[in-house]
Amino acid sequence: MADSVEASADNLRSLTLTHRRSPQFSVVVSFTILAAFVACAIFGPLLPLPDPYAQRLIDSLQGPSTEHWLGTDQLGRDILARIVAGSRYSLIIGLGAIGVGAALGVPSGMLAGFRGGWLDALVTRVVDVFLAFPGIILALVIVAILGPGLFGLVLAVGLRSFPVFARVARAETLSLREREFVQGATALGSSAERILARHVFPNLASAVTVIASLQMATAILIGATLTFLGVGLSPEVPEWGAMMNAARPYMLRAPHLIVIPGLALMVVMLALNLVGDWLRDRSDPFSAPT
Amino acid sequence: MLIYLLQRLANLIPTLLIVSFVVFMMVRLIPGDPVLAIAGQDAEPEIMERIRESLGLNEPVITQYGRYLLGIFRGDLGTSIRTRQPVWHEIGQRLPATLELAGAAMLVSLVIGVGLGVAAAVNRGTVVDAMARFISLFGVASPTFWTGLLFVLAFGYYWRVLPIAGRGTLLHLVLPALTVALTSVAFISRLTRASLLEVLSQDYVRTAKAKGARPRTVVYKHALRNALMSPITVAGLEFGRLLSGVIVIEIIFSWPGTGRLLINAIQFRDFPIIQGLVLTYALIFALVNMAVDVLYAVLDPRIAYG
Repeated sequence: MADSVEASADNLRSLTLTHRRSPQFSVVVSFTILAAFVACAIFGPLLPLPDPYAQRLIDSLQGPSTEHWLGTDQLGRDILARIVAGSRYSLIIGLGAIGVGAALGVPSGMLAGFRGGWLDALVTRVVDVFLAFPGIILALVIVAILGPGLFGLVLAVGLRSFPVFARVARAETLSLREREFVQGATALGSSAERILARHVFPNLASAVTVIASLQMATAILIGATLTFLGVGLSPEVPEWGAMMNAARPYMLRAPHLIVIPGLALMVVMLALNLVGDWLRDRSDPFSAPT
Repeated sequence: MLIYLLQRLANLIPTLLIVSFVVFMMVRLIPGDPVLAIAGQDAEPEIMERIRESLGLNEPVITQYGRYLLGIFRGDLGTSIRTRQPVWHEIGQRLPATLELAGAAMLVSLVIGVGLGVAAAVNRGTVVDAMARFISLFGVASPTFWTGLLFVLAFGYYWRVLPIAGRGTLLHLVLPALTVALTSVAFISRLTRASLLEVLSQDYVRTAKAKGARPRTVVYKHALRNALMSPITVAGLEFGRLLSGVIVIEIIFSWPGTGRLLINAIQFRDFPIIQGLVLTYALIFALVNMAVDVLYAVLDPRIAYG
C-alpha cells in the first residue's frame, strides 16, 4: 500500500516535472493551428483568393510567386485556394466521421455495458466483426458501395470508428455500473434510460472526448487516403488527398504539388494528436506521460 | 496448449462466417451491373442474360451465398469477372508479395520501435528522449502514402540510392517496408517507453539495483522482458494497420501485391475478387492475432491457457 502511494507520488512528481519542462507550448500552438484550420473551413470562401476550380493552362505547374503564393497545379489552378477549400472537406470528413462513430458506438456500448446479457453479446459480436476487417479495407468497400461523394466517404470512415467508441463506452459503463451513485439511482427506481443519460453518460463523456479527438485525426487521414486512392471523391475536387492523387503524374516536375497538400494534412494531424494526448493526460493524471 | 489452440481456431469460424456473409451482401449492394461491364454498354439483352445465367446472378442472393460458401470449403472462391481467372489463382499469385512486405514492415516496426522506445526510456529527459518523441509524433502525423511519395522523390530521383519500383532484391524492400512501418514505429516506441518506465519503477527493479546489479543488467535483463509485453500485445492490432498501409503503399512503389488488385476490383465491381480478398485479409489478420495471443501466453507464465 505504502509502496503504491509512493509510486503514485513518484508518477505525479515526474508528471509535474515533465510539465514544467515543456510549458504546454505545443498544445497552445496546436489549438492555434486547429483554430486556423476551422476558420479556413468555415470562412475560406470569404478570403480574397482565386476560384479553386478556375483553370489557366498557361500558368500550370508554377512555383510560388506573388500572384500565386503556393504556386499553381497541373491545370493552372491556385494551390493556396485549393488548400483552403480542402480544409472544409477535411473538417467535414473528420467531424462527420466521429459524429457517425459516436452516435452509433456510444449508445450501443453504454446499453451493452449496462444491460449485459444477450444485448452485450450481440454488440460485442458486431464490434468483433467490424474489427475483423483490418484497417481501411472496410472503408474501401463501403465507399465502393455508396459511390463517390462526401456522404459515402463520411459514412465509410465513421463506420470504421464505431467499434472504437462502442468499446470505450462499454468498458466505462461496466465500471460505472458498480459505482454507488449509479446503484443509488437504480435503488431509487430510475429507469435505465434516465440512469444512462443522467448518471452514466456525463461520467464517460471525457473518455469519449479523448477518443473523439484522436479518432478525428484518424478519420481525416483515412478520408485522405481513400481519395488519394481515387475512391470517394472525383479528382478535380480540391480535397487534399484527391489533389495529391491528381498531381502524381506531375510529381517529378513539380514536387510542391505533393509536398504542400501533404504538409497541410500533416500539420492538422499533428495538432489533433497533440490535443488528444493533452486531453488524455488531463483526464487521467496517472496515465504514464508519453 | 493444444486444446487452447484448437479452441481459438474454432472461435475463428463463426467470425469468418459472419465476415463472409457481410462482405457478400455488401458487395452485392455496390451499384452498377458487372454484366454491363463485361458485355459493354450496348450489348444485346440476350447475351447479357446468358452472361448473367453463367455467373449465377439470376438466383436469389441467399442461394448465391450458399453456393459461394460451399465453394469456399472446396477451395473455390469463384471466378474473377474481369479476367475470368479463378479468384484463388489471382489472389494466390499476388499474396506472397503482400505478405512479404507486411512481414518486413512488422519486423522493422518492432525492431526500430522497441529500440527507440528503450533508448528514450533509458535516457529519459535527454536529447535522445526528445528525438524519439519527435520521430514518433511525426510518424503518427504523416500520412503513409505521403511519406511514400516523398521517399520516392528523395531516394529514387534526387539521390538515386534505392530502387523505388518493383520487387526482387532486399533493396527493393527497404523503402516500402520503412514507409509502411513508420506509423507503427511511432506507436510502438511510445508504448515501449511508457511500459519500460513503469516497470523500472517497480519493487523488483529496486531490489535488483539494491543488490548491486549494474544499470545495464537491470534494464536489459530484469526490466525489459516485462516491458516488452505491452508492445507484443498490440502487435496483432498493429498488423491490421500495417496490412492496410501495405495496400496503399503497393500502389506507390508498384509492388506486385494484392493492393492494386483490390483497388482495380473495386473500380471494376469485380465481386468475386473483392469478396475473396476481404476474406483473405480477415483470415490473415485473425491468424496473426491468434499467433500473438499464443505468443503472449507463452511469454507470460501467469497467463493460463484455455
